[in-house]
Amino acid sequence: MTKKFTDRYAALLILAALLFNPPIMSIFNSDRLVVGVPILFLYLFFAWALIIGLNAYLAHKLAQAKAASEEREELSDA
Amino acid sequence: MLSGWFILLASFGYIGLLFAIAYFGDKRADAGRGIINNPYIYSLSIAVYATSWTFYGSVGRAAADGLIFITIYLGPTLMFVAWWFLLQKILRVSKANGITSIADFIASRYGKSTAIGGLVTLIAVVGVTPYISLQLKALSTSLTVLLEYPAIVMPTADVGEPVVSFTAFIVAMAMAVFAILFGTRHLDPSEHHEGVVAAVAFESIVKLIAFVAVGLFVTFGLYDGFGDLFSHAAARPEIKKLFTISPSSDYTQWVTLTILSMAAILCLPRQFHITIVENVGTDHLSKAVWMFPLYLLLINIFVLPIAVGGLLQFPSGTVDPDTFVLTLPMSTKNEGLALLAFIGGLSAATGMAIISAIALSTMICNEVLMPALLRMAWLRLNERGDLTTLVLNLRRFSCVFVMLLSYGYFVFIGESYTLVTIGLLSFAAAAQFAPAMIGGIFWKGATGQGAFAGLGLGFIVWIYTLLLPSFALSGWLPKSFITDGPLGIALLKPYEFLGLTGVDNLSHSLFWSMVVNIGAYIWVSLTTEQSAIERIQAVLFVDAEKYSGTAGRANLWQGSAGVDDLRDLLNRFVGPYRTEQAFKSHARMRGLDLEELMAVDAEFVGVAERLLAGAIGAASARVLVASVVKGDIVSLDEVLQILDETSEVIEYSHRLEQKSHELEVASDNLRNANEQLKELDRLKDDFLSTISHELRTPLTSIRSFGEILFDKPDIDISQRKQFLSVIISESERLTRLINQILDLAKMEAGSMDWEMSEVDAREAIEDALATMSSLMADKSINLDLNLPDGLPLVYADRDRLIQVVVNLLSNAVKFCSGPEPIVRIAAEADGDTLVVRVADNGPGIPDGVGEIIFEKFQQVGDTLTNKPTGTGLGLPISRQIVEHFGGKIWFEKMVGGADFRFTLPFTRNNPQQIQLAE
Repeated sequence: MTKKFTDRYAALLILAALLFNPPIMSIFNSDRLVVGVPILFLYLFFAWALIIGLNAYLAHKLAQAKAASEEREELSDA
Repeated sequence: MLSGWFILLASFGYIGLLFAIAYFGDKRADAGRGIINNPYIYSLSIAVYATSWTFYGSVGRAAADGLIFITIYLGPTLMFVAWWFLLQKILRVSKANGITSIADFIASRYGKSTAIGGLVTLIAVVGVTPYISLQLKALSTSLTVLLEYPAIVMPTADVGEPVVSFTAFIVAMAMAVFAILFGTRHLDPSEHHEGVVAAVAFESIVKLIAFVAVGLFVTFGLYDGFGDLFSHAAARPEIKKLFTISPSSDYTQWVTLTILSMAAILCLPRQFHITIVENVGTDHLSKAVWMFPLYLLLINIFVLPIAVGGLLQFPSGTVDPDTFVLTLPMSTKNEGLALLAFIGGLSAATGMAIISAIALSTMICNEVLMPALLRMAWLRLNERGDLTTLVLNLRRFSCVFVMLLSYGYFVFIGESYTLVTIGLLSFAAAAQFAPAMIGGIFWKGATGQGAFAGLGLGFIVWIYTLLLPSFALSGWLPKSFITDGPLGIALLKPYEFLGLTGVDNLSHSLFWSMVVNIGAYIWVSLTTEQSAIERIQAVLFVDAEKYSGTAGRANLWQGSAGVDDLRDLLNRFVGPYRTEQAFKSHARMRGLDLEELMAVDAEFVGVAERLLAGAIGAASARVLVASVVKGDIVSLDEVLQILDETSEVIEYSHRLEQKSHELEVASDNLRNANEQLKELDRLKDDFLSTISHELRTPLTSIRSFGEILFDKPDIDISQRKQFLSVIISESERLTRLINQILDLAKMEAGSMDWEMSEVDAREAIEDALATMSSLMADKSINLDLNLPDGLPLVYADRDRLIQVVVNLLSNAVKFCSGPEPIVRIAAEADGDTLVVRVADNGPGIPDGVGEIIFEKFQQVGDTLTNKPTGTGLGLPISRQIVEHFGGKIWFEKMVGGADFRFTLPFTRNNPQQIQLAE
């Protein structure tokens, strides 16, 4: 279980580091307005929300995995 | 409504509410029903990260430089994504070792060193004091601005009206009192302050609501939503440039600030305190890692809109952007909202000040004052009675000291700087802890001297490149210090050290301090040796997973200590109640009788040391325990051996558990196999009894007719013929039955000889018809034959194929009993298979019979009353054959007759499958 989540969190970290660094950001670094909002502003908050969402999803999966492994332990104790 | 006294009343009313919440939180905790034991309160308390810098300063920064303010919040988000690798381990190590502060953490890792603990405390105090004074500055500025209502007047460069600086002083002292009341109530070995955490979580809610309220007001009150606001802003080139990041200079700063804020969320003393020390459940962290970033996202959505709105509303340069949150509601006479904004800023400032004061006072007391006092032999501190009060008083004193220091900094220097600059100064100081901290939990070879050198040199570079220039800017040092360098040496210019130019001051300082810090840390670590205790602590920190639960055994103590000495020592610091509790639980766990125990062993001493460390820090605890333990320090090898033995035992029991689990699985499998075997055995019994019954029926009739013929030789010839024909037909039936049984057995065993070749199905069907033709003629059955020409060849055993058709035909003929019996045979191509159909217009197959008729000895109809007309093996054999050819056999539901069909794959389409089937 630990190994699986290590890989997942490493992947998420790489994605986050990529999204919030100049190369990707420079794509959106323009003063255009998209749906009335500056495009870089929109991009940053969207990427931010995405990372938070994925982190929450992993936390949810982690809780599930923990509950499952505890259940297994209880079963093997019984 | 916004008169001076009302604002002050509201402010102190709010602070009074905080006291009430903290009091309530402590009461609940004392009653054992803590309110902070959930991930939501925990996440909100971590949001103490958002200070008045966030509340006022972000808007100021956004108004000047655009979106770069967001880095301060992206850094923590990244660090919280990386929690799995860093925070989780730090939390685990801290819980196992009873860590009380970041200084305690670093000092413990490097051999419980008093020197390192002291140095970290020094850096923390010097680095964080400006940050606390920043809160006071924000508070006084916002108060000054609000007091001028309804006019909007910016405070002048000096501290402002006496009433304002006095209010700032009162608030500072109120925070000190708060920290003293709820942060130093008693000496708790776990260092939990539930009331404080509850209050800080509440403050986080207040500041979020206040900020979002102002944001909504600007965006939807002053303007008609985001689109309207931004389109107004886009018309002004100087505001429009805030929508972007200038690629030339800001990208460096972007990266610098992100790294800096990543380090800050980990290393700022108050963040370490609230995230690690005050954590009451390790599981809460996995939820907080997304809730806290979500909080940051929410509080940041309106930063740019407020900044843009402020720039649009006020003529350029008349209003300090740091005050937009306050002045925008004021300018439109929204008194309630202005007051809410002020209270929000107050909550942001006080939350930070309280936690910082508690964290710093714990460090000052545990890492500096206690070790120093304990070393002063003439104080005879060891021989005094209850020392709990002394420790608590030292902390109270430290709280007041920290707040006074901050107030002093605020009065003398703070006014000349913007909020953000001061905050970043502190971030850069806190970042100095990162190498020693992160290196400490991953690199076993890092030595105490290396950490000391790295921290010390990094701190010196920080002072030289950031702190001293800030003094120079405030007029404490000559300006030439910055412009010409000290003594006019250009290479030593603090903002362009060794000629490094082209980056902003902060990146410049961070670069040099990190080069020196990490460089010295690694270089000195590689060239010095670890002492015994350093190596043990290094192993405990780096291999935390391996040794979890064994910390108690990793003692340096050898020999023994008198129980009474030890008890006295603990009584003085953690009180008799907790001492007895800890002693009893440990004695019970090891089966010792506390009453009869005179001296305790190393393990017992270790438990006592950790209890003590939780209250006064590892460094002090070590000095104290050394004074009551008789005997030498154990050699390193011995300790490592004990550690390894323990971890081996754990490993062994783990393996044992695994083995027993495997055994369980194996026995499950065996049980299943046994069940299957039993089922097979039963089937075999069934088969044998059915078969003997089937064989006995024809045998019985043969025998009885034979006996009749034998007993009555005078029976007339016609009857004799009839009897003999019965005997013959029964013998034939018997032969057929035995042949079929043999066939079936062979097929099931897989030892049938198949002569597979390309077969013309039409020919085979006609051959089968030929063998049946006389029988059909006997029963005058009409035949409806539909065999088209040019059907492709099928791959099959010709004789067996004929056998299938004969079986189906004989069934059809047998059951064709109506007045106009007719049998239909048809063959047609369907995709890549040939479908053969044999149907009759007999009684048909009753509903609900289903697949059962393809099983052995299953006959349709009432077997008790009707004489069976077949062997009951025709269909099972046909099925075996068809399936062997790669086809399938089934019957279609139909009214008035039975309709059997089977398929055969064509040769050309699927040769592979046929080969496989063979």
